[in-house]
Amino acid sequence: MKKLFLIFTLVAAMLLSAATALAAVPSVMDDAKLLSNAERAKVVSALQEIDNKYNVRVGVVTVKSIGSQKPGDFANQLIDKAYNNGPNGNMVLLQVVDQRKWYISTDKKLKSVVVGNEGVEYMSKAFVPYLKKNDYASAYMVYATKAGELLHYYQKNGKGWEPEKGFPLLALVGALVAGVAGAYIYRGSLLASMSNVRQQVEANAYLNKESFDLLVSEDTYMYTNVSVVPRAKSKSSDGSVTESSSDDNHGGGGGGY
Amino acid sequence: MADTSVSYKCLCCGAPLSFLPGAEKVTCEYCGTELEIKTVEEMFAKKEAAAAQAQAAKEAKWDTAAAGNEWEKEEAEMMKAFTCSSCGAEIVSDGNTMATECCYCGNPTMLPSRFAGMLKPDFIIPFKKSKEEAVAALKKFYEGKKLLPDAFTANNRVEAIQGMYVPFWLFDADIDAQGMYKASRSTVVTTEDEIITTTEYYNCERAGTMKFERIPVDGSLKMDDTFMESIEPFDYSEMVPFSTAYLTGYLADKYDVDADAAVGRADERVNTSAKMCLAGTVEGFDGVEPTDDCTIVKNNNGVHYAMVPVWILTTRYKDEPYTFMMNGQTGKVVGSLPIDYGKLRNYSLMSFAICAVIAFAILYFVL
Repeated sequence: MKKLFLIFTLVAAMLLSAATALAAVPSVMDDAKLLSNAERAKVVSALQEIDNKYNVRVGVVTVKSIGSQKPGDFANQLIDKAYNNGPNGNMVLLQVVDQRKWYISTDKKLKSVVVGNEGVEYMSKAFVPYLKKNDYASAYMVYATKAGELLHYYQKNGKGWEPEKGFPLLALVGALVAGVAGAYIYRGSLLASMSNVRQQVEANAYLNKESFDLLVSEDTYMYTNVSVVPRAKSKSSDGSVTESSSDDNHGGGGGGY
Repeated sequence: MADTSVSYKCLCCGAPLSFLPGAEKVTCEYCGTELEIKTVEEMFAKKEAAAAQAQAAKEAKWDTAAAGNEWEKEEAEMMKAFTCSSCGAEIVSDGNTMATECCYCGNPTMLPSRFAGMLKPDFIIPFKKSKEEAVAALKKFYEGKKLLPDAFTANNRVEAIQGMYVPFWLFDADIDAQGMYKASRSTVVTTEDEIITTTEYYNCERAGTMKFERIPVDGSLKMDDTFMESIEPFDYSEMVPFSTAYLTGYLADKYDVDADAAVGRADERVNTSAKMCLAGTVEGFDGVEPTDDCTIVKNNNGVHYAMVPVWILTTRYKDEPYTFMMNGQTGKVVGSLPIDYGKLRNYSLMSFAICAVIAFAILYFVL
């Protein structure tokens, strides 16, 4: 535990000191050593291209561990302290190796560009499959591409990206089933209302309630049956956003891989 | 020829007497004279005896003449002629009719010969609801029935309405009941990976005693048993010792299903209720299922013979008769109405559309 805390402190100190000491923090801070030099250069190039085109700072940070701190809180600190000089906004992808978690944090400006979980998931569903295969360079390249697409969409449409809803086939099928069920029940009640001629099956109305005397009441245990049903697997590793440290000044979300 | 029937007539004006619903006395509708039930009984007892003798004599001759002719003996038993004491016309009725009205002069007529050779009813529940109330209740019965054809309500008029005392057997029973029930109690534990349901099963034995009082079973083959069970319940607190005076002005049949034949239906209902009563004491479980191991023993059985009031209303729609019955005591109306299948289709489609649109709106935003 002490060792983890030491690592976390060193990483945080390194990042924060770098942020304050340098005018611009590198686009890729690969503290976990996941990339080769060539891969790192390729990713940096892709991120710089976005920076130049949209005046938005987009970064990638990898760390081995952040101790017990939440990835969202850590990523928000990176936005506040390191990636904070983009004229039109800042965004960073944090990858925490020991927890196998990722988190995308944005500043307040980009919060309206990367709208809610849908915007984050638009990127994460594309790059998380590569993270799962440990193909980190591809993952970051996809992240850069998708971030560029979101910024382009905003520049073109003047509003944050929203997923296009296709034809809601599932809702239509559900509605048809509900319609048939509702009509069947209502039809039955209408038909039942047309006749009140029914045979009596019991004689409860003629039972003298006060005459009932319970003489024997014995409950004997027989056996126990145990059934185990597996729970549905969490969707946390398919790129879905399962956690968020979003607040007034930060947007974004994260998950596992 | 001596009269074979007896009309209860007012001693003051000679008009036919009728028992008016809700009244405690027999009242002359024409001059307002009120007569005590007991007085009417005594007054006409001798006339009834004479009429019964006259009918017996007539039947003896008629039976002789009928022997060997085209009428089967059973048919002859079913169709018997009486002489109306008011207009002298011959009234033909079936073998169970105790009271009727003359189809020629409308005079309420008792057929005392039918009282012989049968049990005298122990009790009678007098009519409380009048003919007008029966018609009004039927109209109210139509209200709010969405599938009722428009033509049925627009052109509908009651074709026939008859007040009738229907013979019923009332069964009393002291019951010893014993039953076994399979009961279960479940606990659910949810872990990160699985849902574990632990269900404990118990064998629950219950036994007890209970008393059923006056379970009614229709004693007339002519009346539909399901209709008769549908107009239940009756308020037995208003039941009085039987008197023929209550029958005047109404139709009345004697029983043609005897108590032994009716007891099976009472047993079925008693058994079901006894099992339900015991099952209700199996508490503290999530599920209770009855087993086949259930014993019902009846002790101190008692049977009473009673006449209960029923209004029978008949109407017609598209040449089909529709019969409704009203409990002459409580006013409960039962019957089956015609169905407009075009309306049924339209309502079904409408409910389908409404449900589908609401469900789609919800699912569109949820999914």
